Amino acid sequence: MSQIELSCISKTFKISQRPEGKFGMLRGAFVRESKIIRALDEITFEINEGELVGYIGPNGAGKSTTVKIMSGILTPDEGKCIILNRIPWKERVEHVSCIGVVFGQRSQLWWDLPAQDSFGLLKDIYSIPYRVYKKRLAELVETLDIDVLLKMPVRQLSLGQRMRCEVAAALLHSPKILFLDEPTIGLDAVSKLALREFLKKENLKNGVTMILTTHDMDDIETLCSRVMVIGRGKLLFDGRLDMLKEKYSPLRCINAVLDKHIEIFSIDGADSIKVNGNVLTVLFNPSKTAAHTMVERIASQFPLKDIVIEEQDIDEIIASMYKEMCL
Amino acid sequence: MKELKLYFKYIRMNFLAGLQYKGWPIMVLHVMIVVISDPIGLIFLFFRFGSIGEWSMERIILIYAMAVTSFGLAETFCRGFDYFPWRMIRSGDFDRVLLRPCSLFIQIAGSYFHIHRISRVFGGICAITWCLLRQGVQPTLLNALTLILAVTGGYFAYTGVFIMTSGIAFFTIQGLDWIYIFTNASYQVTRCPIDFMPKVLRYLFTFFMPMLVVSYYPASAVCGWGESYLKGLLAMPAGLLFLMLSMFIWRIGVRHYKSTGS
Amino acid sequence: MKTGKAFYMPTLKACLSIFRIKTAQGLQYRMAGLAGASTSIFWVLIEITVYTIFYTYSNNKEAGQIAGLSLRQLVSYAWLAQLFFLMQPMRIDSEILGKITSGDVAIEMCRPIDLYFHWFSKTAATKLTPLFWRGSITFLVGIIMPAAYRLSLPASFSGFICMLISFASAFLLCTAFGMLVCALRLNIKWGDGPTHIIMLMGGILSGAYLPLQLWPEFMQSFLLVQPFAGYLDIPLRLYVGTMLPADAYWAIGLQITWAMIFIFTGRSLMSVRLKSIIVQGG
Repeated sequence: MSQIELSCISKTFKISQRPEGKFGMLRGAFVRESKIIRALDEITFEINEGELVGYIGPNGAGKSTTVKIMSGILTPDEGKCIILNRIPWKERVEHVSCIGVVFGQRSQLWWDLPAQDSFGLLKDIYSIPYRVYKKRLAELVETLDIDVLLKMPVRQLSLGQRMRCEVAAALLHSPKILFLDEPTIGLDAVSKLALREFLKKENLKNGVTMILTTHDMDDIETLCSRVMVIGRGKLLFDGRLDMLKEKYSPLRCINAVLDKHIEIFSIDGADSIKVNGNVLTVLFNPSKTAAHTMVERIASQFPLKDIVIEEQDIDEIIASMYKEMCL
Repeated sequence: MKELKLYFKYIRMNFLAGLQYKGWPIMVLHVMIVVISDPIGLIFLFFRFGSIGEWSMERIILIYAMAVTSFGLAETFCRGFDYFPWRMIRSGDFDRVLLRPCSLFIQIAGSYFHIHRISRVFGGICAITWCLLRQGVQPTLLNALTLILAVTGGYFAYTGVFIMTSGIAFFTIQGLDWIYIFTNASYQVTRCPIDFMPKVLRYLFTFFMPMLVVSYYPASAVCGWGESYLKGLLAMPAGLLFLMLSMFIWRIGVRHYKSTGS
Repeated sequence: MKTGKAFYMPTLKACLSIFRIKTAQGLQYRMAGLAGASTSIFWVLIEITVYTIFYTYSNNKEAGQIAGLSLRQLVSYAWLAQLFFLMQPMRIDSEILGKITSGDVAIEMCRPIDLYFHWFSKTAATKLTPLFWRGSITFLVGIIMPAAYRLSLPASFSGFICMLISFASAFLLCTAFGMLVCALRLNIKWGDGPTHIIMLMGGILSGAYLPLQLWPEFMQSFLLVQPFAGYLDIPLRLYVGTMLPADAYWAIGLQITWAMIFIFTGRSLMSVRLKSIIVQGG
């Protein structure tokens, strides 16, 4: 039995917009036009306990709508959604005490007070028994390394420090499911790495199911075994990350450094060849030509100083995928 | 019980956060000036024109102060609802409230607390005391009870107005200014002596929003202007009734929010 | 700070376009205007009722006439006061206040236009929006009321013209004072309390609570020369005819003098502060 189950979830919104044209602004004072958009169109998926799922898609694709439905804030128009054997929007209180949500752009900590005061309030909100709270807090403080930060007013923390406190706040009541909405947005490289590291640990140790929406493909690559792609309200892809890569980016890239400058030439099985001084870049499809064959073919023509085989950059894959699907 | 504890925890946190802000004593002074200056026009009118028959300045100010005190209490202890339409819905903080396993009321009521708002209550109580002394009212138990219940009822009634406003705010934020008729403008109605008050106003503020039930009737009963104690004691149930009506509207609003999401 | 024509022409142009955009933005809020108008109308009706009661049933019903203000004039005054009240600086524009408190003023200074006039036009434009919707609806309702509650015609045609000129000066005065408060806010560290108090005092002394003529006798001469009479009392006296058009010269002159004083002080206060921001780097 899976922990999260969505079937045929649909949601439409009505949005009003200003009339276009020359006097749009002025006419907007008197008339409004409204448009119906389909934010979610028969979304269906299941997530098992302990999974770490990346949920990606361009802006406005319906990511946050889905998250809102799963967290019980929004009622869908049609479809069935069962999380931990409950319908989120019907049993709000019971449901939300089992989930945690982190919004990368919104804080749930009190701006003017030290984070520990906010934690104390959360303890009461979630009715966590004192002993459990103490133990859990100590655990989070240690793994997130926020001991010194707890006593400082939140407004004095850097974004990275604040985000660590934010994550601790969301996990204080030991939720079974954690939703993360762009948790790494705006963070520096070190903070990003630390946060990913922590999430991974938490997932392994406590088996917390995590659903992560993000635009940072590195998040997905390091954290998620499974990716779901949504576009224009439809679920376009659901599967392992390498399957996504295979499907949308079958090509591999060989970067070879040669010992002299060369002119352009042709190699069997190469999809594209670029030469820049003594650096040679070759794209090829490993399902047609094996990698070692390609390397041999290059090596047979030139003495190689160095050679690296890479996958195509994931950002590029996603960009080309969105483009292909006309998102 | 847990909820109440939580509410006071919220208030405490707000209080602490407020103290971080150095200008708060001046804000107390500011609200004090608002409270004193608000009826200044009325006082000048009385100076120039004298009483209106048996309606002396003390009488009018007493009724006025009863309403103001109730309003001040609601403003102090349910400030969150007063701010809700403009702060919480717009910023999306209401989503966060929905994500927590406890009463929405407590979370919102406690979400703001400004110490300086209590000036209004303080000013109102001073004015009430002064008027009662001037009228030579006996300090009996019944009188005290009537007045306390009146202010409590008034507190419920004005809290109701805030909750109703928040409920309506789920549908529209833009056209919400008319609600001032029931908040800051409502107690201005008490400036008319009740005998001369237009019927529409009298009915609106008796049978819909029970502002007169919590101000005029108890004051009249206590000071012996002709209304019975029975009517004076109706303040509390009337306030509660209005609060319940507002909660109903609030609930419809929340349902709407959950189906449209802002 | 740069000066000269080369600097002021772009400033003027930029300010005009800020003013235009802000106004156009505001025009969308017709619902807010309607809702606001309902509050204004409610308020006026209560005031008129209270005044009528005092003028007909009080122990000294002649007191109003003695002060030189008839009930009919008072009713018109009450309606127009609602309209003029909308121009008064009640608070610092939230956008500007946000910039002051967050310390983004330094960023604002990077723009090649004079900051004082930039904010001046912004403040002025935000005041115009409520006048357009809320004010015009209130005005229309005022003239179609039954006789006892009606906003009557002006006392004389020349009085009306003087009122219009005085109205424009009042608008200038209100914005100038709003900007002075804004400049003060830039200079003080302890929050919004003091500025709120100053603006509140202005509101009280403007006559919006009670026409200044009905205030106690001994205060009258002070009330007329203090700057806030120019907010609404002077134009309204001209309209209802308790001030003759012949007196309009000095009354409007007074308004403009105060406005100039406010602009001058506001602008110097602001540049003092801005200079120190440049020196200290924020």
